[in-house]
Amino acid sequence: MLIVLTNACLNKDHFKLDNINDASWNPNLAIPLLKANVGVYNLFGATDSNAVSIDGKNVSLIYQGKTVRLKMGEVLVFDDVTIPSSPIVYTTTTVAAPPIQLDSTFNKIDEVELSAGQMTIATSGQSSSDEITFTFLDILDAQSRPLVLNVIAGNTATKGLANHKITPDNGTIRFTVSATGNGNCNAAFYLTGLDFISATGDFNTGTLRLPRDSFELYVFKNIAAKGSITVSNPILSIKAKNSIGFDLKPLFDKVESTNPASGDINKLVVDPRKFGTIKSGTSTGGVVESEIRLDRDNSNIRDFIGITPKYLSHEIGLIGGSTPPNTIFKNSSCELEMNIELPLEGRVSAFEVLDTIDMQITNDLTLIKEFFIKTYTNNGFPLDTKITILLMDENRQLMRKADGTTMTLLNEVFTAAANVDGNSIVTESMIVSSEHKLLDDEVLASLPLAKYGQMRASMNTTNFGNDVVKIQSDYNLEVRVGVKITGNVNLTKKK
Amino acid sequence: MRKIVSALILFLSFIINGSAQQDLTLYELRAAPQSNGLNPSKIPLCKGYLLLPGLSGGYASINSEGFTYADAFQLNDNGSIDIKLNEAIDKMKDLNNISFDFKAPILGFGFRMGAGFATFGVETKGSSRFTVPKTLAEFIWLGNADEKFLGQRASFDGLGVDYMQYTEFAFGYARDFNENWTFGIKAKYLSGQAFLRTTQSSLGITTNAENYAITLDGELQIQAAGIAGLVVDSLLNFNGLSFGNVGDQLTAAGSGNHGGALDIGATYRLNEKISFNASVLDVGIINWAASAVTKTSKPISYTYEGISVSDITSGQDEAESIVGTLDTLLSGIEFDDKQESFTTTLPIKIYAGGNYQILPKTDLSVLTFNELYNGRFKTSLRFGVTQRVRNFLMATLNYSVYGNSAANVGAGFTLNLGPLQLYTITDNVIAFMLPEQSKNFHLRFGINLTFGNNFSQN
Repeated sequence: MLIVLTNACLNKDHFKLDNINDASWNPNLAIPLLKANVGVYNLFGATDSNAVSIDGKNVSLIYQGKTVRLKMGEVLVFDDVTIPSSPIVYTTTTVAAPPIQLDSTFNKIDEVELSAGQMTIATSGQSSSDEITFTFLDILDAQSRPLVLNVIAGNTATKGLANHKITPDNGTIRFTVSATGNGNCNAAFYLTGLDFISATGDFNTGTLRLPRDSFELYVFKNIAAKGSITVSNPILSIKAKNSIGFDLKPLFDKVESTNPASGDINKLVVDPRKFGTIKSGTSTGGVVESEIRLDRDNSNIRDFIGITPKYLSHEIGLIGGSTPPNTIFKNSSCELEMNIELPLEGRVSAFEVLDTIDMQITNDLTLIKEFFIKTYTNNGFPLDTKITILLMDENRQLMRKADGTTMTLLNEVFTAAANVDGNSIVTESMIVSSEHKLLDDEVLASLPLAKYGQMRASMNTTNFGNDVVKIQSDYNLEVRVGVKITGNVNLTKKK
Repeated sequence: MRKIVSALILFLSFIINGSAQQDLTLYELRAAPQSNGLNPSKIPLCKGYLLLPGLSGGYASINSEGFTYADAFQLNDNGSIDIKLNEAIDKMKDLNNISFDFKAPILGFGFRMGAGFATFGVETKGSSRFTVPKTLAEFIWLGNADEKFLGQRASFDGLGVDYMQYTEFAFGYARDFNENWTFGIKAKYLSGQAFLRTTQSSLGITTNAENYAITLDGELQIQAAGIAGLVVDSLLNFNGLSFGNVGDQLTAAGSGNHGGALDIGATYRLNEKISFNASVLDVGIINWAASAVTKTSKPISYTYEGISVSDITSGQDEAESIVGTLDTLLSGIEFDDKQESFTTTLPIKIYAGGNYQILPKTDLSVLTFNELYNGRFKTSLRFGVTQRVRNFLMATLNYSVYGNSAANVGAGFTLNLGPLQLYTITDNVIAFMLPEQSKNFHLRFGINLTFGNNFSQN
């Protein structure tokens, strides 16, 4: 009965699905694409957040080199001394013999306290078995008694020199000879294995070189080829830990900044009259810390940094800076650490930060009727900011149009710098919200191939990068990007 | 594609129109033993009957509130069809119930015992109700960037589901106490299989007009037990079911939920022509103990702002597709679980009516149906005429008003061919004649075995 009723009454035209007129579903969808809160750590310490140093609200970038060290035990080395065999005449009376000539190092040393070493005397060609006594007047034991060696003529005798000190007489060691009888023989002298505890003398001669080191200045890596950062008051500091017993004056003749992109290399030029020395260690070999700061008043540091160097290399020299005699100890050393400190106050142009973001929007363009990009920026930095988003393919390569230009989803959306007061301090952030319709058909057609986006934020100080601003620790740039899509789902599409 | 979309909308138009089914037509077809289920005092017009699974058919109804197929698919003067979903959505109420109910007899029999009639039946019953806010349909159709929603909170308060399935074992007895009164009672043991209810739902989505950040807020509480409890717990806690013992888990979850209910009915015959009748059905409870869980969300306030570029120049991506925005929002909901048994009542149904024998084989009748469930009360009114033809045909025709519809014409008949009884019943025959404009869909049909039919008894 129901079937009969249905067949009799049903308006079949109303159910002829082939008669449905074309219709589409056009929902408006708003989807947040990305958000970024960029603070000073993100912006300037992206590659090395440790470089960001905050003191109150003041922000500096501090890039540290490695610690380089000069060890006196490696600088002051005593060579073995050999006095070839030569005739000597001995009698029962003590007589002075020709002194033993030491190496040139001893010319500058007044006294050296030995920790090791030995004196060997080898006699030969004897005419009797007399016992010969050699007394070394400039080698003293712990009780300040001269070193004495007794040798039976024709034999060899050795005596250790630990806990002895040598007080050279114009670079020589004087000694006397006596014997139990009269005679002559040949004698050779060997001073071997000399090592020292401390040495006193004049060490001001010659330049000591610390090992070479280089380090990167990451902040400048974000500078576009045509951009620059000018820091008003950069500082290069040398932090020293010195246990060498005299002042040291650093030489900066081999300190260079290099910008491989531009090919620029700058040498550091200093005015030595305007900075001090590395302080001497204590008289007992204790460590004394000191610091040398090079700034725009005593060096060309602004120009040195002005080439936006990607890295900095140095091989610092040291020369003695105290009135001799000075005492050094074998375990004395001088450790140096070089820092570049860039207080964030200055000018910036074309400072650019990049990031790759996952932003697959659609696989089917037929589902999209209109496409808008919505941006919201809250700029708390005193820097004009432009946001650009470029499309990237699945291999994270920038996609290009037929004419070779990059496919741009969002092109240089501008947000003005935050307002500042007379001290260049931000007083009010700048908020911009805008919507941009994607009109480029070629870009729109390529959206299904876009799997990633490259977001570029380009920043400049105001007045085309010429105004000086100060960056404070609480500054923040908030960026939100969303998409608004008008869908185009055909409800009656025939398969 | 065209057919799929159209069929989907046709389906939705049925379920987005009408209200719960009441078996208003079956109530008068006493020749069908199933009518005893609506009033235990209505003794079947036979000496005995047997209901068999499958053969004796079942009951299905799809109901809702909202738009019709014709609202969504408008036939224009050219004979072609325009899709007008926006106009259809406009016709929805603020909250729209979408219901699907079914009954499937497993076994049933009854027989006369002197002045009484005893019945026994096993039947599985299921009822589901989805509550869909109009805002949700608009939100889906228009999109979150539509001016109606951009910068505004799209409120989905009331969004929810209510599903209950159980098997009842019913023992009934009806007896003529005198020439005026007949009483009937039916005691039922209930074995719950699944229960799922959204007991609190106040979700909303706000799309920030400035940056399109999407915020999900609100509160949600779900009670589930039996198989539904097992599934819900697995889905929301991402536990999953271990394949090795899925059968055991489902069996355990689908048993162990015990309950009971009582049906009572009475018929009063004022004289040979006029009678009154009433029944109260499903006064009972089910204690849900197996896999019972109450999930209460922590206050939801989660905002998706897009891919977080936490370190803008590190080159490290948080790879999250925008397609997953909704997943991200929903995954932000955290639930507190309380795994304790709970008790639910059944929808209490009340029938009350009167009959007037206008001709020896023809009755006029009036009937009201009322349902009280979960704090909501529904009522309906029906006028009908029923004709008996010897002992082999009984047919009824009625007009009823219920829900939001005053255009319901019900019809049904039983046809006895020996012990075979064919029956077909619907509360809304218009749904079959004008489905595009219909607001209700309801159908019972099947074959019963009845013995010793006697349509002349009162």
